Formats: sequence, C-alpha cells, structure tokens
Amino acid sequence: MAWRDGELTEAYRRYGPAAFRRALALVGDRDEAWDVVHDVFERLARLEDPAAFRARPLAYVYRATTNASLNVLESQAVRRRPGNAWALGDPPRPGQDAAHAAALQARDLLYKLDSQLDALDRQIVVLQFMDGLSQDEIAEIVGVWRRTVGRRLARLRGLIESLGGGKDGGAP
Amino acid sequence: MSEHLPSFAFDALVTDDPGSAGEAQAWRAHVETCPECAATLEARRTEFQQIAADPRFSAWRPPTPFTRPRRWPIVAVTAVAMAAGVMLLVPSDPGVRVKGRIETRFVDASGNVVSSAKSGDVVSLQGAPVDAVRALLLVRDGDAWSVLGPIEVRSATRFGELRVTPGTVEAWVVFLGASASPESLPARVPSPESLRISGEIERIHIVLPVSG
Repeated sequence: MAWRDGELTEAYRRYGPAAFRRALALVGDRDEAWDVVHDVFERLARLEDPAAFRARPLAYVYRATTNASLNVLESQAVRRRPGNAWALGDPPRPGQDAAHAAALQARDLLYKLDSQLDALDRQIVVLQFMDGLSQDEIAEIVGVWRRTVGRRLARLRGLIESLGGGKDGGAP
Repeated sequence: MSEHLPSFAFDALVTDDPGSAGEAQAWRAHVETCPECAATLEARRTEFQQIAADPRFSAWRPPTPFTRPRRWPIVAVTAVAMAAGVMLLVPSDPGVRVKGRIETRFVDASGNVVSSAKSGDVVSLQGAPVDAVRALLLVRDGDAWSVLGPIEVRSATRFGELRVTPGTVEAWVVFLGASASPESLPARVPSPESLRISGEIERIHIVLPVSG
C-alpha cells in the first residue's frame, strides 16, 4: 500500500530530528548529516510499500540512517586513506557528552576494522558500541536472529582484542 | 530497570513512536524514578526542537511518491518510442527526467529544480535509483562524449556538477550497482551506447534548455 497523503511529511517532521542527531553522531559533519537525512527520506519516499516503516517507524529510520551514514563514513575513509593509514576524525574533547564520545569510539572501530567488517557487522558495531543496545534490541532493529547478533559480537570482540584494545576496545 | 535507558528509548519517547509502544510504558516508569534519565529526556526533546528549527530541516520537501498509476504511462510511452526505433529525448518537464521509478533533475546550488539555465551557470544533477551506489556522467564534448566519474550516489545529494555552455546541456547518467567495478574507464567515448559497464542498473538521458 502506497504512502497516504501527508504521511511522508509527517514522518519527516516526527523522525527527521532523530535521524539528523544519529547521522551527525556518525558522520561528524553537519552538512553531510543533512545530506544523509534527506537521502534517507528520499529513499523512503520511493518505497513501493512502506509497511516495514509503518510497523516500527523509528527502528526503520535508525536502520536506514545508520546505513546511509556508514556509506558516508566509507567514502570518508577512502578520502582519508593515504597509503592505507587510518585517520580518525577529531578525538573526544573534554566536555563532550558521553554519547558523542561513544559515537567517536564506534567510528574509530569502524575505521580500524574496515576491511574485516561486512554491512551487518557495521550496523552491529554502531548499535552496540554507540547506542549501547542489547542483543535483543539490535536483533529487532537489523532484522536478524538474536543468536546471529551474539555470534557477530563475539567475533567483533575478538577483532577488537587483536587491535590491542582489550575486551572493551575502548568502547562502552 | 537498574541501568539508564538507551539512546533509542529517549528518541522513541520524544517521537511517541508507535513501534515502541510495547516498551514505552516501562521506559516512562523508569524516567519517573531516575532524575538523570528524566534530564536526558528533556535535553533530547529540546535538542529535537532545535534541529527542527534549522532551515535545512524545513528546506526538504518530499518528492512525488512513487505510485503505480504514474509508472505505466511512462513505460508505455517508452516502449512505443523504442518500438518505433526512436529515442525518447525530451523530458516531461525541462530539467527533470522521470524514467520508471527514477526522477533525475538539474538543480541549482540551493537544491531547487532548474528548468532552464544561462551560459556560465553551474548546475548539478540529483536523483538516483534506490539500489545505485555510483554513477557515471556522460557529457557531450564536440563529436564525442566525456566520461566523468564514477561518482558516489546519494539520491538527495548532488552527484554531478556542470558548467553550462551555449546550446542545450545534454547528459547521460549511467547508474551502477554495488557489483559494478569500472576500474579502467575511457575518458571519452564516441557515443553513450558504446559504453557498457557490467553491473549497470539504469541509464537516463536528460537535457536542459540553455538561454543566452
């Protein structure tokens, strides 16, 4: 069933700020974050059947914004990759809130583990290390079984240990 | 609930997300007993109001949503044109080209649709199929076509910029999916048809009238 009159505008008004906040935390640049938000809702508008959005609107926007932001991060990583040297954005500064610091740490992990992560891994890194969601919550948002999330997280923790960051990897 | 709420819960409470209705009662109960979460919720509410007040928030307008009735006449017209051996060159609105579900348009620096341009103007192309990740831009250059890109595609983002020269601006946009790997692209091709890339999703022809 297609979008109803005004439904998409209402969805943007209601969930757009959450999408922007999330995109900004991930991509670290306001202009790029607005591009991400507009991209998310442009793609949403082109859905033939918005049933998945209607069922869990905020979870859908979270997932779509995370994906779009990760694409931006990937292109940022390519741009910043002189001789394969990873470069992270600004480190957390004193006074920045814990959520922002967690976002930067999630970005750090994404950069460092780039070649070893697939799309699902990247989503899980963000939802676990930036959002602090439980395995159940992550499973619901990304649409996989909880045990799949558990297996992926176990592997991710192994990768983080291999970076020398210990079990926490510097992330929450 | 002994720990503080996750960020998602605050977003869900501020947006009154119907998809989180099952958990919302427990989250609200926690907020009532946790001053720190109550403060975070209030701060999140204020932050969303500030974001919504940003001009870039209100600048966005939803594109015309895809509806099936709109699709078939376009497909039918295209099929008739192809059967007659002719190419469909003229877009429905100047500066805008709709093909199936895809709308590609020329925009100015502010993102407004441009239906005509003057020589010397700089215009950008915007719009993409849902699954496209990159695009190539083919721009007429004398008797041949210059190949620009690949350019990362984000549908709300301008992905190809052109300085308008006298005469009609004419371009082909070749949208590529994730499987495409156009490592060695020619700088020029004799015709758009001569460029074939594995993993191509769609290609769109778009023209922009130029005055002056």
